[in-house]
Amino acid sequence: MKISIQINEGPYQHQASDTAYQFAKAAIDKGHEIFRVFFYHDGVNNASRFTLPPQDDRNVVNQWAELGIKNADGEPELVVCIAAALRRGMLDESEASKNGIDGNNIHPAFRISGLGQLIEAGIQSDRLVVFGD
Amino acid sequence: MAIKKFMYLNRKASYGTVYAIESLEVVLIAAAFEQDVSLAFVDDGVYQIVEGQNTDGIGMKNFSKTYHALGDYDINKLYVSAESLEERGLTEADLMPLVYEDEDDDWAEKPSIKVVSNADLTKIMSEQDVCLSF
Amino acid sequence: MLHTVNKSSFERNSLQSCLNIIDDTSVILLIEDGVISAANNANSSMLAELATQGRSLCIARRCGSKRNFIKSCR
Repeated sequence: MKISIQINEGPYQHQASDTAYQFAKAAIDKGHEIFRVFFYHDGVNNASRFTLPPQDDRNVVNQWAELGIKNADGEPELVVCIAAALRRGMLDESEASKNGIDGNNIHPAFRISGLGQLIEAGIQSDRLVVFGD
Repeated sequence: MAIKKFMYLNRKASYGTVYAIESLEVVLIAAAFEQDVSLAFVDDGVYQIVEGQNTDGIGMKNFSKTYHALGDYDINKLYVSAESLEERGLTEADLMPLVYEDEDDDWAEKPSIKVVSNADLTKIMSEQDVCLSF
Repeated sequence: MLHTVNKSSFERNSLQSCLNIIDDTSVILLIEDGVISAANNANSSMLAELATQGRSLCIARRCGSKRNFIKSCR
């Protein structure tokens, strides 16, 4: 099956991202395809390349990055909603430079894009599973 | 592109959390994809479309007017749980008069809000292909 | 449709809210804090009522075992 995932909460504050990750891993192990993971609301914070969790705890951002979810063109399919991201100060290099901000914090395993990617995921996938509060 | 039935399920009131406004933002983008879109308002979600919202005292943007635009985007199926209204001492008269123009009926103006029982909402939900819950 | 409930019924009305809109084709999966609703020692009349209706809930195994609760999916 082609499955897409929506994550509505940030790392550590809620279990949503952890549960979604375990689900994604289990789905991949069973031979399903994860078409896209879309991060919305505070979920955009899962894409921060600056998180420094304690050594003896899981690294939520790296876990997602290591799953290597990409499309056929090799582009990441860990997608961060641009509207939600900008509101919360999550910027890639392009958005930072466009807005005159002297830094960017999106991990390279993620890409910023519009809400249309979420709708497209719903259209193209067999299932869309939502993890939130 | 195949047409799927998309339902946007709203369960929380506006302003206390971000879910209401960001759910509406998804719906407005979704309009461009010409899918079969419905919105459902249950539990405190019914407060999102209550008439007469005024955010002057809390310094937040009053985005309730934006719901009026949904009709222009062919989004005209807004299901509201009757039980959720009743539990909160609300009636359909407390909700915003959201309308759309029916192109199959000489552009007659009709209400987009449909107050339904939870049982009927269950049937409607079971017909959906995609359900986004906020 | 698959419904997931991730909140304890002591904290929020998510489980009851879910029960209001399910039919015989629905599956409810308790995950995260949602498994608390199914704890053996939880005083939940909601589950007792479900049992009399012949309904069953699924509990995510890892979430249940982590919280030392029953783990079963019927």
